[in-house]
Amino acid sequence: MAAYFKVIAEGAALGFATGPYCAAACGPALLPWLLAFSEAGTARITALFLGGRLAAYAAAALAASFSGGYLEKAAGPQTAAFVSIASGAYMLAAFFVFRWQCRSGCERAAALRAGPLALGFMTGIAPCPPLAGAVIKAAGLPGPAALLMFGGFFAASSLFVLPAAALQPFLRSERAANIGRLTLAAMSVYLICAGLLKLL
Amino acid sequence: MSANALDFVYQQQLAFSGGWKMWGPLTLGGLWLAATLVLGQAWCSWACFYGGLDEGFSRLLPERWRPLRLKIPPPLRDIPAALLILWLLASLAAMYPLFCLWGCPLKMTCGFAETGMAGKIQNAAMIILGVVFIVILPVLSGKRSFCGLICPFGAWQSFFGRINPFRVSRDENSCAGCGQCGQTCPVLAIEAAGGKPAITSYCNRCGRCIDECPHGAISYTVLGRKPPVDARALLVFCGLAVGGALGSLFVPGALYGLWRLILR
Repeated sequence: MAAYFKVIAEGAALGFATGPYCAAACGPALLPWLLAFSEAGTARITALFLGGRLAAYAAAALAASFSGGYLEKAAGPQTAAFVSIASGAYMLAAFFVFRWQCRSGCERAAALRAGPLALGFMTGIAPCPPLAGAVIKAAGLPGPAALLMFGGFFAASSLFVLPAAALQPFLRSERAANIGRLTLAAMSVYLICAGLLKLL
Repeated sequence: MSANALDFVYQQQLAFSGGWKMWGPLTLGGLWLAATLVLGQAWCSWACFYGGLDEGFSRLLPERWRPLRLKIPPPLRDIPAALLILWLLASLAAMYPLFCLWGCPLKMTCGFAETGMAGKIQNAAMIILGVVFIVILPVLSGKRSFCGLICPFGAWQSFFGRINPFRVSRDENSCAGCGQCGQTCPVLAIEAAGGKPAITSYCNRCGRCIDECPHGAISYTVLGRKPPVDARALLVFCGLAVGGALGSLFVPGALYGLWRLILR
């Protein structure tokens, strides 16, 4: 039992140390969505986004544990490029589907509900230094221990993303939503271009 | 992340200890705050060098020769604010000031040093964007399209510039709703709202609408009131003083660097 607590604590320590980086890395995907579709509830969007990240981390933990050191070598800049392109394409599609008005039923739209989940997953699997550190650590652990370690990492790093859930009172105006949709479009183009440039 | 963040901290330490030639985030932030307190959003019209370029090119052709009538639908008017959020978020994620590195129009003059295919493509894209919005569109339309349509710093100033007391105000009683001010505004900051023009938060305090209004309904105000002294003269003096003081800090250095580059 003490060994399990130890790996959770190690993951949490890594999460605390790298949390600001995680929050900054999540910002380009999460904040435009929050601004654009705040009527669906910023707490709900943030929770779904974190759910997507949790799923990505669970997958990364299992993959790292079962593949040994292979995942660390396989997940290079190309993976980051593809994730960036996929995130941008998803956000661009969302902008065109729900572009100006979200007059009614926004909170019930399946695509909107799935959006933060998908973006959270894609952000979660994007290779970055904190994730690389966690993968390296998980590579030497058995499956359940790797999951626990990533659980600690996720919980601690998510603390830095959670304040986004409290943005609702600031995003009530139609102008904020309009700026959010424009940001969503601009950010999607940026992510696609940044991904394509990484592939060169 | 920590390496980049520490780099900025080190840069700041150099700025404090190494003389005025070194710049750090805090010193630049302090300069910005001083300029904003004095000028607010009038910075864009009266002190910003990109604003000067935009203004210069927008006046090259006489009005009758301008083939383009630039208009922007109201939902797209907030593109500068969206681009500001984009630059902020992308800079945070990259831990680099991306606007200074890639978005700054001066990349047109210093970007050729970039190597690698990705860098060259980025350079080319930014140069094309700069030429279109700072040269071509202003010449063809007579509008300051970079300032009015895509400058994220303009959006930043439209938000934080509220701490400055200078305003361009419209007198409800004198205004006939002719729309002349909206057609004149070089940064497309005057919208028609319910038959009467509305001065939006993107107003650069350039004063063109004040000159053009046939009914004298628009004027400079300080804290919402007409001051006993000429508000425009006060604003222009502040603008020139701030622009001159800031420009003198690095323009001579930049010109000297360019001269050395040419000689080499």
